Amino acid sequence: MTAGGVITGVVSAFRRTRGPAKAGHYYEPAPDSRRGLAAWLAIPTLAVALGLCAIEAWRAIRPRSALFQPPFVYSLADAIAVGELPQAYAFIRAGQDPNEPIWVRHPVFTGRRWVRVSPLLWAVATRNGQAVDMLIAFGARLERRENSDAVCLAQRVGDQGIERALRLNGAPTAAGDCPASTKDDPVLTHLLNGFN
Amino acid sequence: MLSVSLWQTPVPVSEAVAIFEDIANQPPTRFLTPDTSYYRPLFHMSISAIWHNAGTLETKLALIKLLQIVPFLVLVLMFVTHLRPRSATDAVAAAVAVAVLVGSPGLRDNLEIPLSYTIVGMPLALAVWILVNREPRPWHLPALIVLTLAAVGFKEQGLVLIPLVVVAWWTRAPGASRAAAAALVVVAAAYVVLRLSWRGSWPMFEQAVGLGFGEIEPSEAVARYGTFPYFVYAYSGASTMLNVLFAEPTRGTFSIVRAIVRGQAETWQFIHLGSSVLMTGLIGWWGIREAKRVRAAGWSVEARAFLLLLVSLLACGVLSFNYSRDRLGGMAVPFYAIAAYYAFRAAVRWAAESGRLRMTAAAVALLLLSAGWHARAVGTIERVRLTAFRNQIEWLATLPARRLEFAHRTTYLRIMESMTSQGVDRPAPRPTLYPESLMDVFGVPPR
Repeated sequence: MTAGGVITGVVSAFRRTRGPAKAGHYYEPAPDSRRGLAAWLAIPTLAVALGLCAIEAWRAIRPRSALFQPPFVYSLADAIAVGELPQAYAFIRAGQDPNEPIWVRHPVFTGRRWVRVSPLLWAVATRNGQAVDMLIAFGARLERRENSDAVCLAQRVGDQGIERALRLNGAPTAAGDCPASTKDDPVLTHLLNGFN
Repeated sequence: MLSVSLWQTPVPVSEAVAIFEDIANQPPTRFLTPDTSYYRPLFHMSISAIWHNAGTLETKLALIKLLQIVPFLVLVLMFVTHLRPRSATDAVAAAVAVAVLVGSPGLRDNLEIPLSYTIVGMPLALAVWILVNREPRPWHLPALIVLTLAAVGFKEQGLVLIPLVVVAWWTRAPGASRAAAAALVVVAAAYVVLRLSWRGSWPMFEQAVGLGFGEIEPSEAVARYGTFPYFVYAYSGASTMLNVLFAEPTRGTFSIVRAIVRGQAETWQFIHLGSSVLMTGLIGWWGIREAKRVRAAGWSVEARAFLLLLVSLLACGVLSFNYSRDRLGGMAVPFYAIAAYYAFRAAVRWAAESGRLRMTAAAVALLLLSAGWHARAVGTIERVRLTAFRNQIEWLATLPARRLEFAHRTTYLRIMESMTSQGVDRPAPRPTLYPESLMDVFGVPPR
């Protein structure tokens, strides 16, 4: 049934159907009324079928369209910051070392300064627990110096879930060793003494 | 689209790895012993046959996915072939019925790879319905027995087929002989004896139980209702039936009503509840009409369809007494969709023969009903994509915790590590990023 057929059917259904039955009168059902009604009721099916076909065709032509993929991120740091876990993993899979420090900048966490931190610390600072787990699963080493402040940072940002996950996975317990910080101290920079 | 998304879905960590661990650790015949509350020997033996005989891991996982996808495709194709629309009215009703089939929570919840228990049983149930309504053939009897045993072997819910055949025989369905009914009653009796002989190991409450607006864990359920659990059993059974009919409650919890009461309901919740209430009302209207005709004209296919819907619902309810889940109503869904077909067709015919005002009102109501179910069908596709995406996130984000939790289970860890690549390396399907208002209509939560 084409779209034109639907329109014709719908119009004919309502035009040819007689008025309501009145006492003493008997109205034969119009022969086209059922077909017309069927045409009218086919609208959702046709709309869904056409819509899905169009969308899938568009998916085949432009798989990277904003309709199908979230915005592309240009770095592991961005992927972690926006919570795009599959894209973050794609960088690791493509060969980026999950322990190799990355450049990050953030109004709160770094006080708008560019600093180099490990991906794990960045994931902790942004409170992205899934990224923390992903980095640990795919090569981040908690015993390495770049990651040694992860537990302190988790405490500092107040994320007990991440702190627990880090400890369970063998992060050094640094409860008493965390550097003191002031209220106005950007979360990451106070941990990075001697690291930048 | 749905099948393609299922094919591209990473096999999940949770459930799947534990099932494969069981398969790897146990000989296939072990699954014939009904010493646990779950008894799905054919499911486990099918997975075992694949796991032990397919060559590479990739082939194994592909075959396990096919065990989910093929029954779904067979169900939909068999459903459409069975309805075989011959007129425009039939075609419209069939389209709505397919949307009902695909959009039902009972089907949606059974599309979770690799849990193919009920999705295998659903086309078998439809096949039984088709057979009992056909002229008898000598092979019908063994076919009905084999279909029932296969469904029961995949999941306990397959037992639904036994009362269906008995009632079909009682309503003089041409393909349901007395011998078939008697043979299946014997099968049912043997099954019950087999299961009860091992019932000592069954817990009182197997999983979390939904009650009213909340859910309680099994231990709490035992503490609160342990002395008299039958009220909760009845509630859970009724919940499964109501879920098929009204899309509410889900898992025994009236989550949509709760959202409405709290003023937090989303569009898709109104659509699910509204379209189900309207469709069930329509089926009730048509069913009562058909039932009234039985006394004068005998049992028609339509009257039998209505009765078998009621029987399948009741059986699903009884079999889900321990806890209610959407998927447990799956065996009644083909019958609900068949009833939806007949009811919608009857409504179109009735409306077409009514006066203009009534016809216009009916046309608008039926259009909204159709649109609601079509939105739900699209929602099922998007849900499958969302599940695929979540499976990938699960692979990416839960490995460290699982390595610790299952450190003592070497087979589990070995299988998990071997499957990691399929879980993370290929991009998983994602829900289409429609405008937010449309996502709300389809019921796809923000990621």
